[in-house]
Amino acid sequence: MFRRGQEIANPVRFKFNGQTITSEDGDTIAAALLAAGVTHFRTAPEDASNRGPLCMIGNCFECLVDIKGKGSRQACRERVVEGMSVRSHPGLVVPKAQP
Amino acid sequence: MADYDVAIVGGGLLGSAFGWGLARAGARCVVFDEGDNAIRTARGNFGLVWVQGKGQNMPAYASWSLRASRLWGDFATELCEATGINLQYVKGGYDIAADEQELEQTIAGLKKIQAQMGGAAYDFEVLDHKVLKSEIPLVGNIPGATYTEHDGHCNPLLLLRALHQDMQAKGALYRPNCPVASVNPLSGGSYQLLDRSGNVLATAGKVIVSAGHGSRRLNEPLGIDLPIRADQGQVLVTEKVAPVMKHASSSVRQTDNGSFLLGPSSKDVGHDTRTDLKTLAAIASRCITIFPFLGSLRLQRAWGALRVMTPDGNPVYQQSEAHPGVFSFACHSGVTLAAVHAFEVASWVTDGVIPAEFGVFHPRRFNV
Amino acid sequence: MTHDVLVIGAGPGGLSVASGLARAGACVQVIDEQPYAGGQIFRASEKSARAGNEIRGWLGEEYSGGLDLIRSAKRQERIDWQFATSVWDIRCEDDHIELGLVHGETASITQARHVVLASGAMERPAPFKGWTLPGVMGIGAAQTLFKDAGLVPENGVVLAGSGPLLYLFANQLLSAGVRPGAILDFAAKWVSAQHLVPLTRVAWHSRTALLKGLKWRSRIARAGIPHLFGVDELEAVGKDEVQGVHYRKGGQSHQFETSLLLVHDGVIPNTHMTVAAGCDHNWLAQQQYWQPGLNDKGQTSQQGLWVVGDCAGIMGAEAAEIQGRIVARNIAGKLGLAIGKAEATQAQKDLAELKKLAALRQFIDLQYPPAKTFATPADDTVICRCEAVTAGEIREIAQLGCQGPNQARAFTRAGMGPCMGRGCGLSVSRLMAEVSGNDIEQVGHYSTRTPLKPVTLSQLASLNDT
Repeated sequence: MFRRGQEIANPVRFKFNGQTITSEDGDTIAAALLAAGVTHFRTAPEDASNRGPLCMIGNCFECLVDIKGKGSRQACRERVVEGMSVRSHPGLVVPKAQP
Repeated sequence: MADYDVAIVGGGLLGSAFGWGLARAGARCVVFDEGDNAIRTARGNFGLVWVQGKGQNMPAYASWSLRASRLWGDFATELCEATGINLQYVKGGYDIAADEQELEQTIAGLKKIQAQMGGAAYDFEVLDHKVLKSEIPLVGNIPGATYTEHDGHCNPLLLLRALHQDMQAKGALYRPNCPVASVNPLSGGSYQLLDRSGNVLATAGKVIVSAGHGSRRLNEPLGIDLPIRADQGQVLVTEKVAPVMKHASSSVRQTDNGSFLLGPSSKDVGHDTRTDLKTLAAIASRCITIFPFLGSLRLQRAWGALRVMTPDGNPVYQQSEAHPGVFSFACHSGVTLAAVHAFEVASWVTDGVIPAEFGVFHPRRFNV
Repeated sequence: MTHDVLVIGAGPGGLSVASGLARAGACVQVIDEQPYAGGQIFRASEKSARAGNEIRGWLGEEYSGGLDLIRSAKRQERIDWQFATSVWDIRCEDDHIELGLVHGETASITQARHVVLASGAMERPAPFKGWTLPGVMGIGAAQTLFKDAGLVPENGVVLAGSGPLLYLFANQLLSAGVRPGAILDFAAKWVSAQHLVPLTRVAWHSRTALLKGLKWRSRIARAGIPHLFGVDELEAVGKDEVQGVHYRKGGQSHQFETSLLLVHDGVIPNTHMTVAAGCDHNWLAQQQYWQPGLNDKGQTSQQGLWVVGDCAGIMGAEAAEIQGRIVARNIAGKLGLAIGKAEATQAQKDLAELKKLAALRQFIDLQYPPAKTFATPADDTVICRCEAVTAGEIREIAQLGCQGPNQARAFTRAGMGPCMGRGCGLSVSRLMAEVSGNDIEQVGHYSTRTPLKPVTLSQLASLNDT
């Protein structure tokens, strides 16, 4: 779908569904995932269909991902942080008991 | 001859339940409703079919709620068979206490009602923390809950949709965007319903005024007293979550689509449906105490709705003495009582008589 | 209250209003979701201005020109910048306006006597069969990725829809060495006879803009990119993501293979916040969108709430900058701040310039009207992506006598999902109008509720302690 127009100058590494992705410092998570060839960001809870970014400006919520320690977030608005762990959004949040 | 046997003013949960009940019994009826931006209690409620705690100052209301809850299963089944809409009715409900004091108050209240009802089947269980946690593992460090089989929850929006759909299928006429400005008695005992410009909308042998906060305006010229005020309740909804709890509780419930509903607050603010951040924060805070996992969830939306509140909180059912055939009904438990409104109150109207045992619901009780 | 004025949005409108107010001596706070100024049009300008970055060159002067505006605003000492912050709540009280903010993981409340909304535009949601597949995106969305991260589509990307953005973006892609597979243009190739009059009216004043458009088109032609005019229907096909696009033109069906289908049906004002604030709105029939009703000073029906730029009605970046200057002068007047002589002369020029831009906009609007196919989706087309509600379900509800979009939302869940109806609001109102035969103005629009942007329950609960 997309490729990087220029090479990565300041690499930042994070995990998506367990796999390591290298992106440019300052990228939104959405940009980093699209550049890495990811198309499926979330599963729609109503019809279990695959969804990916549509608007890129925070309006459509199709790019929801699950960020460890933060929960459901818009990938087009959150920026990558070294070592962060991101998963595709399952549609229904799976809650965990708090310690 | 009048156009209709019964004209109903108000297409919310009360009016629609009467409309459905009457159409089901073969009456010719019309339901007048306002527009999309009217004050609508039917779009703002919490979706509980609830008995616990109701009628602490009026045993008749407690047994009326109990009767409604017993009929709710049949009511939901019949609507579902007719429309294909599953109302997502689930029996059984908790009143979860955030602290010891809340639990003691709830138990004391329930015991009081039990005593007032003189041994009628008003049973409840007290669950301590351990038992509650075994039923809902994600519950936080709280003392416990009360539970009864009589309580439950449903999808109130689908309830309204099913009533609208099926009352029309059964022959009732639904007239949206059609506010009624006045009700005029005609010689011969029937009534005329007029719009703001004085045009006749319909004539009917009987009239039910169940227009929520709009009822007083219609009642006053007819000399019908309806002492109601708006009690604002604010509700929060979260993003969707995998199944955590099947049964409702009075302040937190998980809906059929996965979101959690939190609330409701109570506040006297006139006709203001806006939320305020202090109330929302307080609701969020208390519910996080009950279920700590809620803290990391996204708030999906929040709203304020205006309960129709009588001075004692109990329903009003009355027929005008000066204008027999004009009924005025009001309450804040439109979901719970929908079953009795459809199955029983509708026939009071066709018979033209409110049975003596329900005389306690007349607003003359406020004049003592 | 620590600031005289809060400005929401750091695009051309917001930057201009904030600069104007700061120059007049007001204390201003600018709030924006992004970590840097520029809005969507000049998004990440400062970042891409860094040495060795090629993106600016590819995007051209339409983009690089924004840097001056940003730098001049940044020099104002009276502006307090609040980046990476979203506004999740707005409420208009009698003598002030209160905003709920989230920055990082912290929620807070702030207030001021005057608030200026400069929250810009969004691409008009364009529902068609298959548009929920990953790989269908807005052209504006792809352009955002280009500006912010230097991401470009792979060769073979298909652009569909209508408006000058199709041509501009195709040119930007060609500059970056990307070859689009096709351009499926819903517009006619030439100006139709009925639009010649408005065209001649604007031709001279707007010759630069019109020539630019022609230049973009001829470059697409010279590059040999298939540019098909008069397309009237789209369908995205694929199983779990887009694999191709079917389209109809002149009654015939054709198709292209592609993994990325970028669609654009013009832009509409971001009215989510003005609706939430309880402002009156008008329906602009020609462009098929709601816009907040403003008085001649730029103030909404809510005291102290002002709107500039595209969120007041689509006029473009240049107009936003001018509107910003005008509203800054009007607010400065209310605050009792003196306006210099130079400013007063500028006021006359600004009004004249706005008139010219309005004439150009009238021509663009006539030439690139919203596509019919997106306004009349087939029954099986999903219109509410969040809750998977189809056009057919809305039509069914409307036939039941449902009073309007808010009741439709309650009955079908359309508009109840995470996007809060931003994506389906127009479609639902339009479908209800179609069935009832009423005007959209009568049908109305969704009401909007808190939160306008995501906030968690703990962030909300934290306000309990303050």
